Amino acid sequence: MKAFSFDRFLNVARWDLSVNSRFYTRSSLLMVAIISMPVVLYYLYSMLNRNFFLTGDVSDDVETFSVILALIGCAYVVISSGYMFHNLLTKQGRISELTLPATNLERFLWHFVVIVIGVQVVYFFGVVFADVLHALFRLTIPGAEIKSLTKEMFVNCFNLEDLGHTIDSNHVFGVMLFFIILISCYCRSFCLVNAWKYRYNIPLTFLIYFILNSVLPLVVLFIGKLFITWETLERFGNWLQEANADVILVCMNIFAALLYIGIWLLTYRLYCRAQITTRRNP
Amino acid sequence: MLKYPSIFGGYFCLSYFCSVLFNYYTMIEIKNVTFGYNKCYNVLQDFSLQFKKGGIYGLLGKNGTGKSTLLYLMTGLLRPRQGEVRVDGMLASKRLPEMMQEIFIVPEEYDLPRISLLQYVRSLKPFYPKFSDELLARCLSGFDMTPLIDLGSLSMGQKKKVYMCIALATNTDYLLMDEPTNGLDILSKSQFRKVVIEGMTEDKTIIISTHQVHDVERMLDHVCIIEPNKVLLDAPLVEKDEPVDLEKLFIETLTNKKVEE
Repeated sequence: MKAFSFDRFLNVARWDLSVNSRFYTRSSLLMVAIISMPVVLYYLYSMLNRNFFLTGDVSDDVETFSVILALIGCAYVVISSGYMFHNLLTKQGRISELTLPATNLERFLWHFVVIVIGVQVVYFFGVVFADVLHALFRLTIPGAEIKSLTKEMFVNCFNLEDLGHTIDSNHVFGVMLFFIILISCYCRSFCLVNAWKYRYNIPLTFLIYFILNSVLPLVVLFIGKLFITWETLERFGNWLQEANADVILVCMNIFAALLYIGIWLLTYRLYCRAQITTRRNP
Repeated sequence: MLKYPSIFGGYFCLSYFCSVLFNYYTMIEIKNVTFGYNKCYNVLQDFSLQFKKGGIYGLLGKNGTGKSTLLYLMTGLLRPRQGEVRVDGMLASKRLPEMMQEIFIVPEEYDLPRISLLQYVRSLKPFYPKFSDELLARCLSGFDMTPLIDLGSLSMGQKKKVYMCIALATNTDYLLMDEPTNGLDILSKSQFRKVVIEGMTEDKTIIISTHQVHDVERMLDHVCIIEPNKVLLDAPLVEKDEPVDLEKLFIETLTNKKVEE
């Protein structure tokens, strides 16, 4: 038996897109609407409060918008990773998904593609749509300058000059893509909890996000403080400053990649062992 | 002269061996299965049962004896704590595509997606190589329905009928139904019997788990009455000339007493 057949994988994709067509359409439209909302609200508010069409004194606020869109994107990433196994939420959904004649790998990989690439594509379209709206609003202002939100979002957010690296402009796109996939894989690793317990998927995903980002570093610091003296920490800090930044970055990336692989393998194992009813998932 | 009998003997031995092997690989075998939803209580305890290919089986038992659990174990939706369940020689818990395309379960309650039937069938068809559109249309007409329906607008009973038609149209070797007549009106129950018998072929095995014995007693070829740790009755019904009163048989088997007419 082949563990992976591309035809079966496509059949799984077709089945999932048909069965969940409403869910995917609604959630994508909702996302685009949420992303566009700050732009629309800002200009509506400006229109109602200041007569800027006559004076043209409205600033373009591109930086503010890009920060808001990045925050929305962050929340969207966590929420969408909570929906990776949305078919398993109900007992009937579990019957449909788990009795589908396809291997666990084919089904899991399809959910992975949706969550890591599909969600990203929807977000990108949302930002472009917000950008178009922003440009249209700016066009109505006499003599106003038009700046692209998309460019601001994707180029300034990935400015590596702060890290002491200058990147050839030809490679910016490649670096952006690499970072997006890396961040996406990291954030999606929160769906591990979703494979463990299907109900309360969103609160649990946020909880694991909070634990990994806030509680875990604090615990590590606290434990570290018990065993490591300040002098040792200072010496380590000095060594970091003297060491080659590239080596540290590569090591950190290797560690992160191993962590993601471990989390994903565990998620896959949990998915393979899914049953219609368990004590954890009644 | 002597070599001919030995050739014939060898041929018969080989054919017998092949038929034994074929029978082994063309059935559902539940072997010493222990399963429980929690650690304190096992629904099934060292339970063994076989379903041979062909015919309609009735799976009967008291409430909580594990009939639905047994169906879920056969489709790999549950993993036994001990023992094994094999479908055509393949471990059910592995849910291999080769096995899953030959088994289909109609659960007691089922919610269909809010899309058109044609769209749903189109998405499901590639998974079942023996899927028959003609059989689907025939089954639907048996329930006075057409293929041009929106699944989102159907009532619970209608959804169940549509799902049963899809299940029959997949033409899988094994079709498991959990309380198929629950939620159906009197006319639909009669239509259900007709549709199932029309959609039945020699190589198909239908296992019906039910409490509504009167709804299915005329269509069963075989009956299994179970308890958590044993099979109380595993007998064919087709050999009997007169119609079987399944309710009487059920009570007699469970109480071990003769029931007066």
